Amino acid sequence: MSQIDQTALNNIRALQRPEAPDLVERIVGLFVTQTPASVKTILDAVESGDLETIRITAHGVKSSATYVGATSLSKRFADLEIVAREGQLDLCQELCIDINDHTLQVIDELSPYLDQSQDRAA
Amino acid sequence: MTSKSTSLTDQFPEVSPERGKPVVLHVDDDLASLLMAEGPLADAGFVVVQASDGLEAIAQFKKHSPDLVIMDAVMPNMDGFAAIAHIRKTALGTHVPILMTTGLDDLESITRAYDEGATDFLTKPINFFIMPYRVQYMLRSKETADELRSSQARLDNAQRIARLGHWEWDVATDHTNWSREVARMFGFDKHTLGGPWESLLAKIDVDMRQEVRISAEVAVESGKRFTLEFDVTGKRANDTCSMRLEAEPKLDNNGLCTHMLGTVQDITQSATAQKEIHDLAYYDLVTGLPNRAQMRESLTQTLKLSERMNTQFALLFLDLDHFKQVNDTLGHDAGDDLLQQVSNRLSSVLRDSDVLSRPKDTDADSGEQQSSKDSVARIGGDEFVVLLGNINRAEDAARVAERIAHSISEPYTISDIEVAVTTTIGISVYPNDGRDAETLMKHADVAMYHAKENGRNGYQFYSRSIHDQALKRFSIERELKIAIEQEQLKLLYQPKMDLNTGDIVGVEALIRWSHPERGSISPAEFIPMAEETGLIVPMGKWVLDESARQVQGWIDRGVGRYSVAVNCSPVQFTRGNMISDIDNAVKNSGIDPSLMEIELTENLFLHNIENGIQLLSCIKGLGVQIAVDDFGTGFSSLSYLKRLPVDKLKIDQTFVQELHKDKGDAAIVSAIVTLGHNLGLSVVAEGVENAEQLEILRQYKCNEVQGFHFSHPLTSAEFEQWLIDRNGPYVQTATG
Repeated sequence: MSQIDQTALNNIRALQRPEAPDLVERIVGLFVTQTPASVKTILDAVESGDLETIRITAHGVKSSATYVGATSLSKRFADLEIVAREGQLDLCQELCIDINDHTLQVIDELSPYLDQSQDRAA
Repeated sequence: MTSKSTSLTDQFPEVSPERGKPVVLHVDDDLASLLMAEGPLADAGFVVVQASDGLEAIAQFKKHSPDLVIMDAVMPNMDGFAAIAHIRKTALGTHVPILMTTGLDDLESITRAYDEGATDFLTKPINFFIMPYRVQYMLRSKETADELRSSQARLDNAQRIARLGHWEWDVATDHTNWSREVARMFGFDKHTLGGPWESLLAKIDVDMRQEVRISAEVAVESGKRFTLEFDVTGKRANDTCSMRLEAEPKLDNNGLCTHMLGTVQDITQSATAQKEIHDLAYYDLVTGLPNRAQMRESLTQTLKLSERMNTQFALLFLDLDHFKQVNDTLGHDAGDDLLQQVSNRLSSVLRDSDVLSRPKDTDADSGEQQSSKDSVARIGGDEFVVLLGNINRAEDAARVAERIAHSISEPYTISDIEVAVTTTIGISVYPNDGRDAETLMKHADVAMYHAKENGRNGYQFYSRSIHDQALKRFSIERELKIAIEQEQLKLLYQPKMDLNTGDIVGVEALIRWSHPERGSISPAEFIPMAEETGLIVPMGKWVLDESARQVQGWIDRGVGRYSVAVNCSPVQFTRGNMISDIDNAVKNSGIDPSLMEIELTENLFLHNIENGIQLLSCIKGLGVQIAVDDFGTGFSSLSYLKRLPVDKLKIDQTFVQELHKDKGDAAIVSAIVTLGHNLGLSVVAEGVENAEQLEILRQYKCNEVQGFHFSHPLTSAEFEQWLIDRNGPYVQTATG
C-alpha cells in the first residue's frame, strides 16, 4: 500500500510558477535530504531524554510530510510531538521503534519524483 | 527539519521591493512552506521577503519594513511569539498586521499569540491558494484601520487647534465617552477618555455645576438641546478656563432619550477678549469707572424700572472746579492721580449713602421693592455723573450732593503736594426734569452751569421749584433734628368737656415747633417730614413722655386729674417700638394709665386688620384708652369696628364744621354717635366753634366736645389759668 497521497503532490504542482525551478522536485528533494537527519536527531533525543528537541523536530517533519503527501508518517510525527509535549518519554520511545523504517519507505516511494525530475533535467 | 546552523534566508535571492507593491515577510523554519507560499503571494502582487526563525524575522522586519508578516509559531532560536512581541514594540511594528501560522489543535499557541499581538491565524497544513486572499483581506483591514487612525488623529488635531472636544453620554448605563481634547480641557489624564456623567460634572466649577446637571436632566426629559457656559478650574486656582457646552439628546423610535451627544469648546480666549473689548468700550481707563456709554445703559435701565415702578431717581452732573489748573501746573500724571482719588471718594460716598436704597416707610408692606442701583461714571475730562437709582424725595439727592461736595473738598496729596479741589453739581430728577436719558443729562448739565454761576462748590437742581422745595425741606429736616435735641418743640393742650356734666375731663396734646429764626412752624409742614425721615419716632416718644409728665404734674400741684390724648403716627408702630414707649411714659410719670389716651387713625388698620387688632390689644393691655381719630373720613369699615378694642370715636371736625347748616353732615354725626353708643363706645366731637354746633351735639348725646368755642390749644400755664377763670380756684375742682 502506497504511503504517498498523490493529491498532495498535485497541489504542489499547481503552485508551480512558469520559468521557476520544478517545485515538486525541490519540495520532495528537501524532504528526502533533510528528513533522515531529523529522524536521527529525534532518535538521539529519545536516547538522551531531550523532550524539547523531540517536540520541535517532530513538529517540523510533521508539516513537511503532510506537504509531500506522506499522511501516515505525518500522523506519526504529530503523535510524537504531542507525547513529547506531554513529557511521556516512554511513549516517545514506543512511537520511534519503526519510525526509521517508515521514513525510509516514504523516501523510497518519493524517489521516482526526484528521478523523474533528474531525468528531465538530464 | 533542523536548520539551527544554517540561515535559510541566505538561500533566498535579495529582494528589492518594487515600488508600490506591498511587502510580505514570511517567517517559517520549514523551507518547503516558504517555497510553496512564494508563488501564490508573488502572483497576488506581493513582494515576499523570508526568514527562518524569530531572530531573522526581526532583522528582516527592520530592513524591509513589511506591510504584513506571516509568522510560524514553533521555530528554533526564537519562536514566533517572542518575535511578535519584539516587533510590536518597534515604532513601525505597532500596527502591522501579523498572520500567525499554527496547528489547528494547538489552542494554547493561539491564545498566547493573541496575547502577544497576532492579528489573525492560518492553520496548518497551510492552504497556499487561500493564503494570498487572507493576506489581501488583512491589508485592506489595515488600510481601513490606518485611515481610521489617521482620521482620528486629524480630528484630535482639529479639536486641539479649535480647543473643541466632543462627548457622548449613554443615559441608560451612565457611561460617558469623551475625546482627548475634552480630557485635556477638563484636566483628566490623557488615557482617561470615559467615565460616569457625574465625573465630568465634578470638574465644573461649583457655581454652575448644578445648573449643568439640571439642564441635562431637563434635556433628557424634554428631548431639547441646550447650551451653557461655565468655568473649569484646574489644579491651580488661576488656571481657570471658560467653556461652552452644547448638548443634543438622541431619541429612540419611541421618542425617549437614550444618548446625549455634545461638544465642549474652550472659550477662555474669546471670553477674555470680549471682556477686554467690553471694558475698553464701557470703562474709563484712568479711573476704572464706567464711561459715558456704560452710564447711558445704566440710565436706560433705571428709566425703564422707574417708569414701571412709578418711582423717581436723580442724575447728578459733577464738574471739578479748577481741575485744569492742577493739570497745567502739576502735569497730566498728577491730574490722572487726582481723578482716581476723586473717583474713589465718589464711590465711597455712594456706598455709605444707605438712605437711598431705603424703601418708603409708608409703603413698607405694600409690595415690590426696587432693585435699581446707584452708580458713578466718568464721562469726560473732569466730569462725572452719579445716578441715584431710587430716591424718595428730592432732598435725598441734595443730601448726597452735599456729602459728595464735602468729600471732594477734603485735601488730596498728589506727588507729596497737598491739592484742594471742589466740585459743582447739577441735579435733574426723573420724571419732573425729563423722561428720557438725553433730557435728564442735558438738564443736569444746565443745572451744573447755573450752580457755577452761583458760585462754585455747591449744587443746584434743574427745576427752581424742586430746588427751593428740596432746599427748604432739607434744611427743615436738619433743623428738626436739632429741634428735637435742643427741645425747641413744645406741647399745647386743648381742653375737652363732658357734654353731660359740663366738666373739663381732659386735654388733647398738640405739638408745636417754635423755630428760633423762622418762628412757629406748622405741624402740617414738619410732621410729614418727620414721618418720612423717621424722626417721628424720637419725636413721638418725647410727646408721650412730656404729656404723661404734665398730667402727673397737674395732679401733683392740685390742678386736677385730667386725661391726655396723644396723637400717634403709624410710622411710630412700623419703625419704632410704640408699645414700650407708651409703657415707659406711663410708668416713668407714675400716672394712672387710664389717663393716657392714644389717638390713632383708621389708616393704621388699612393694610392688615388682624395685625391692627393685635396691636390695639397690646396697647389696651397697658391700661391706656384708645380713640379712633378723624372717624368717618377714612377706612371706616363698620364690620371691623366692632372687633377693634377701642374706647372712643372722634368725629372728624369737617363733619362738625357744617353740622348746623348741612343736613347731610348732621345725619353723619348723628349716625356716628348712635353707632358708637351701640358699640359701647364714647364719642367725641372736635372742632366745635359755636353754640349751635354744641347744641346739636348735645341733642345727639355726644359724650365729649373740644374746639375754639371753649378754648384754643393752650400752654400748660395758660391751661391752669383757664381752669381758674372757668371754675374758680383749683381747690374746688380738686376736691369736687
